[in-house]
Amino acid sequence: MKQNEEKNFTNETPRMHFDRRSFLKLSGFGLTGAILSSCSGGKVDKAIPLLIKPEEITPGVSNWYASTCHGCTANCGVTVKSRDGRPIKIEGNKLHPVSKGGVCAVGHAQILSLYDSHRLKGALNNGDLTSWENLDTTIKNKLEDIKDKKIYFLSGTIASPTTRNTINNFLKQFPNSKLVEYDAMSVSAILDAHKENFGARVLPRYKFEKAEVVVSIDADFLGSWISPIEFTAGYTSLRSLENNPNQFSYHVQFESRLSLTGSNADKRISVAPQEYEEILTSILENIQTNKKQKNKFINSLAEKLKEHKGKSLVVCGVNDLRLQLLTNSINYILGNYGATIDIASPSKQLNGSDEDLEILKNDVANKNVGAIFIANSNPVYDFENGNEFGKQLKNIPLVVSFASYNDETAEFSNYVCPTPHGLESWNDSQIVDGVFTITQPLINPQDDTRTIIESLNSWTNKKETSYDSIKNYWKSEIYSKTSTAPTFEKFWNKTVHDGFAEIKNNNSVRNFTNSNPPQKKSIKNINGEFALVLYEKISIRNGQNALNPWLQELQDPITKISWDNYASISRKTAETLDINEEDVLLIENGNLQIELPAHIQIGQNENTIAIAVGYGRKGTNRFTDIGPEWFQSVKTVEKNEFVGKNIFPFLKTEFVKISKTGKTRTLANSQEYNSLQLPKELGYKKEERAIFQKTSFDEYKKDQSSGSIHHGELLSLWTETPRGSDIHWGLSIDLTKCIGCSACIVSCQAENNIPVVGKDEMHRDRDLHWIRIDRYYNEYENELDVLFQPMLCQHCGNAPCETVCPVLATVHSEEGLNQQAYNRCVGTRYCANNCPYKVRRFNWFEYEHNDDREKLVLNPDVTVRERGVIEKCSMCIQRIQEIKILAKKEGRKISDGEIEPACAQSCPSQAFVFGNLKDEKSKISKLSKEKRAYHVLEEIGVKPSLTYLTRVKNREKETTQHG
Amino acid sequence: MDNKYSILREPLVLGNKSIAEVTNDIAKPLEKKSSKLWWICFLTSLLILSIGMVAVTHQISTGLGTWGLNNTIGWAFDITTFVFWIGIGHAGTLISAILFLFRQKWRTSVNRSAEAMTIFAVICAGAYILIHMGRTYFGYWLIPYPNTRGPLWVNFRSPLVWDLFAISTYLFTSLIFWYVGLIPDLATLRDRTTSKIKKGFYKFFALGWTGSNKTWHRYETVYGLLAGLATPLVVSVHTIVSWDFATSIIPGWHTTIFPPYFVAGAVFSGFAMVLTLMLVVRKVLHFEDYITLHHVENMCKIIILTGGIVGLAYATEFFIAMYSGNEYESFTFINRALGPMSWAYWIMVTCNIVAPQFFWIKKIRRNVVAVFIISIFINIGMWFERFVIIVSSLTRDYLPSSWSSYSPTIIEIATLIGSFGLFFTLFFLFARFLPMISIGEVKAVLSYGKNGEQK
Repeated sequence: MKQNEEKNFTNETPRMHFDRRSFLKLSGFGLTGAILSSCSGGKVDKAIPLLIKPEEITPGVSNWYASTCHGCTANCGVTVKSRDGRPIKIEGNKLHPVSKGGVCAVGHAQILSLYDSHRLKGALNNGDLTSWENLDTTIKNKLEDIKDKKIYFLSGTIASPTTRNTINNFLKQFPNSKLVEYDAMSVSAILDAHKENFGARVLPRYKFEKAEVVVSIDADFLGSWISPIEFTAGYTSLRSLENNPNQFSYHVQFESRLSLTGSNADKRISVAPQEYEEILTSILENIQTNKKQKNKFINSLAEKLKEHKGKSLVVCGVNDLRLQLLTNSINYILGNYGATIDIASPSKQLNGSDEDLEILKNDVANKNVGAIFIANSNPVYDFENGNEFGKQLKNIPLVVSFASYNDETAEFSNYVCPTPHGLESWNDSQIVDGVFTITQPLINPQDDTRTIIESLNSWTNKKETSYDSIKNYWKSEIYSKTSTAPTFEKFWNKTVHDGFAEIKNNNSVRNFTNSNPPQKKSIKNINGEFALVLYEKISIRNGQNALNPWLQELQDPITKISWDNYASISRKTAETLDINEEDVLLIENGNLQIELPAHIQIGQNENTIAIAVGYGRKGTNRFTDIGPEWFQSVKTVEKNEFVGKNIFPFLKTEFVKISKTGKTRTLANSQEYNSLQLPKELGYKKEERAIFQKTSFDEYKKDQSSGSIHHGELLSLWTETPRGSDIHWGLSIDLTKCIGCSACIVSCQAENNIPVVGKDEMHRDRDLHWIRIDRYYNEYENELDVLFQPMLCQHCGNAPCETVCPVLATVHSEEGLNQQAYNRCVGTRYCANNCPYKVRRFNWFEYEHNDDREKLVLNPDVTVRERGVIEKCSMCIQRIQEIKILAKKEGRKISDGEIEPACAQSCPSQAFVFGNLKDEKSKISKLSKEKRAYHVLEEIGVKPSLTYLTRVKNREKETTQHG
Repeated sequence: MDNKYSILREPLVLGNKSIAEVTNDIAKPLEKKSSKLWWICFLTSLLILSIGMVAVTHQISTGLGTWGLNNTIGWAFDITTFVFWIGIGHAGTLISAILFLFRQKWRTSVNRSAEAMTIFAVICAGAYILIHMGRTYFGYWLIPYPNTRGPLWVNFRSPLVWDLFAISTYLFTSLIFWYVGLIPDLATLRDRTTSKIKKGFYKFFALGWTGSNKTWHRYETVYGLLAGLATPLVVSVHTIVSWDFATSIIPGWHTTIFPPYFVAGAVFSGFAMVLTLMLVVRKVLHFEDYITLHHVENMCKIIILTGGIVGLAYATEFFIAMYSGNEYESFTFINRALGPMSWAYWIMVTCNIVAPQFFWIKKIRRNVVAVFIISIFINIGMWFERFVIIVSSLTRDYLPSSWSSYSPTIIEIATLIGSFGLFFTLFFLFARFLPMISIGEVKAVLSYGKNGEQK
């Protein structure tokens, strides 16, 4: 006190009095300052709000734009959801004349590839980043030097007419130049066969929607052959009992491996590839001369075909001219050309020519080439002599690659001109003659990339962007052929809005000329050898999608294995050679050798071995970081290892020897038990779990409720209190339509921010997919029946999960949904245990994204779940809410079909129907009252909101037994 | 009261001890310096506990994926061991409460340890409740209390909430019961000890015990009342734990026989554990005169009885599964006995049904080594019983597509071992600082003075 007084009287500057308030003031100031100063340091580009708001953009409201999918060469029409400038979801374009609103798993996953930061950041000059100006000058100079030498433009099928035009214009400058198109999994023989028979090298457009009898020789047309989405829509339209209950197509599949298509066939016959010819010949002989064949089934099949002249379709998926000519002859005699096969408006989806490719390969090997441009393909990876080809490329003065990634081919190229992702650039394509589509970009290129058109333009000194080139081309070449729109601008705007334009062509019908099939191949003595069958998986396809983690994690619909390729062998082979599942086999033919784990596959022909292509891609070693890391975790791949093995070197190999190596390799198989039949080793004979209702078409016609597994009315212990809302959401799944293509799994993954867990977790049965497709094999008297049953949260009325949760984290909504409050969940997992369908998923770990940029794909409407909580199908509650709010704003009721969950929206076969069960007029109400309708496990009284519809196959009798 | 025991009845305490000898014998281990043996046992337990702690730390910081669970099998080692520990606890309550009410005097020399065992076992079980959660740090959300989250209450329909009530009640009742029983002994120790710290400790907890007639009278009343209160818990706790399974719809879990079956199983496993511990304690601490072969034999007899009930329950389950005609139920049981996890089932049957049959033979009942070995078998068998119920039912339930298999990770095994570490650490601390045998109660059953002889 005294001291203070003294101080007051001295002239000394008072000591700063530091009380609580000033401390807070100062610290507040300091904190704000620190925040402000740290903000200024970061790199922020254009982070200012829009001064003039673009008309269509409202923050938080998503827009949909039509575009084209470039996941494979089928080029399906899509609509892309863009939210605040970020494309986040791909769905089908329902107006689209070819794909009809369907999108496959690969298509759905393209949205993730868009945000792949592993794509090239800019142009490469011998492996180093360079500017486009430098690169252009160098390439132009080099081109000047080698002007007169042979110049090749090697590309995968070019669907884009503008790109093709630009390439042709570019090549015109050089007298000795050629555009060569090829396809890794070639169908060249089909085109060549048509050239012989019809004089035009075309890929016919197969119209499955008109084919009442389908015979397929090893063509996986529902899975990976030419245009699976289009074919699925067509195929299932004739197997849809709601549209036409009296009609059902008949499908016979001859194949050596169990394909997705084969597993949907009414009759599937397992044969070795060397037997295909005999089958085709005997069918041909029978329908040509009515001569009865030895094989009774072939005779009856031929009869069926003859009964359905002009309404049948024989397809062959083998790239063999002789087989294709036989197929053509059969189809011709059956009058299918012009009916189920359209060659007047042929498909443009695959255009590769093996003949051209051979010439190119020879020229490259003989060092006759001055320059080669490589686009839309990865020859070093997918040629049978890829590595050798890569080395030969070193001899060529100018090798330019248009790869988006630093892939196998880019590595051997002098210059890489990276192309942007399909959703980053304008593009166009002609899927079939008469249908042109536009690829509309949804986002600016994230990396310094240029389309092929732009690169070629700048080398021909044309300063045109892709957009201008495409627009100009369309104006001069496409618009001029149509007269429906008054002005080009109107035509263009409508096309961009719709995503496609249909243009009538007046191609005349071509005449058939019989041709002499090439020499019959001598059948090799196959003692101890196996015919090698290479196939494309529905996810990875030819390897183009191998860098997409969603697709790597997608279980194969048949084997249910993810993250690997493997050698599928028959059970008999496994028994004779004493091979167990996961034993690593040495597969060899001469100098060619590869080691792959064995997978014992039911339905696999005993003389064959099937291996998926598309694996062993460079760059897949990045998945070494994917999935959680813990004490006993196993990496998805080792640092210098790729996912799976590349089998393309065996592309031209027909027969291989196999032997055991003594090693084993774990395969991530997510379904351990594969049959509805109870295990025989427990003494069960033929008892089946009654969870899958199935019948034959004949029985169905007699009694629509045939195959029923109803257990009669269930008694309830208490009186039902009706819920307040006039809505009860329900979903129905038509098992007849579902082909098991697994597109819904990836669609759900994209919509609901479902993380990728990696191989080890998949192996431990800890996948996080909210929807899975259960695949069962049932075997009756040597007949294999494959059943697909999509399984997701059943939104039970008496949900067993709800009563057991101690903290009320899972509750029932007024609208009949079973909801999960992630924030409330403490993770006891009791609900998951008590779920009879086992559809609840637990966040065992914190799942990091493999790539920071991938976070941009997250759907802002869906919470990203924390470690330790349960999650499950929400029936896309965010979509329901969105439409509910919209309807409320507009003062109307939600119309039936307006809300579609992610699984339902782009289902290629439209197997899912979502709607209000309480609305008498809704489609779902009608379906749930159909005689085919049933609930899985209805006898346990959980009252599911999901309805399944009996699977019908076109058989005389369904060999059904129930427990 | 007749002071003369029948000559047919064995004395409860051997060696013709005097009152002072009893106090000396029991209090001595607490007053000496810790023996080497104790240090070895204690440090080993602590080491095992630390291994468990490391495993649990890894699990909580990384995620529950460090356990071998999957989408199909949401519980395995965690809930198995949880139920196992809860079951172990049952013998303690049974001995202290029910046997007390039935005036089974032989309980006096084992009840203290059995009660301590109960408490430690419930602590181990409680730890499992916490660590089995995905978000352990929100475990308190299971407790209903007014909160700022709405207030959001718990789901009173969930057996897990009932579980929480049952187990916390059980823990607190057992703790109070044990503590009240300790008061006279704490006073004895307070009066004997020379260490100031110990004296302060014992003094505080002895609650000013004087040993007067009035005190004893009040004590007896309280003890009797508490015994009455604890008795229903013997039945209720494991009944409620069994409801975790019985109220579910998973075949193999959804069984009405579970409550009595679980209670019998719990007493069965509890007595086995008491035997395991007591046989070691009597040897190490030289309590042969207090924990006599007579005690051992009595406990063996209870094991035969409860083991019989358990065996009957196994058979009934099978019979009902077949008789009900429920395809899922019958499959579950066939699969349990013959399926891929049948090894666990047969371990369970061997340990729980075959092993106790040896107790029909008196020679074996009185052979300490044989009893010890069989008790270990029963402990293993009872752990497997819960494992079989939980895991084998989950692996193959309704949809064959989701059938899966289970194998534990090292983390899970370490956690299981760690829970034994926790149990034994607590038990050895108890042995070091508190009387293992109720001094006051044993004195009441001495034969001293009853034959008229003086010492």
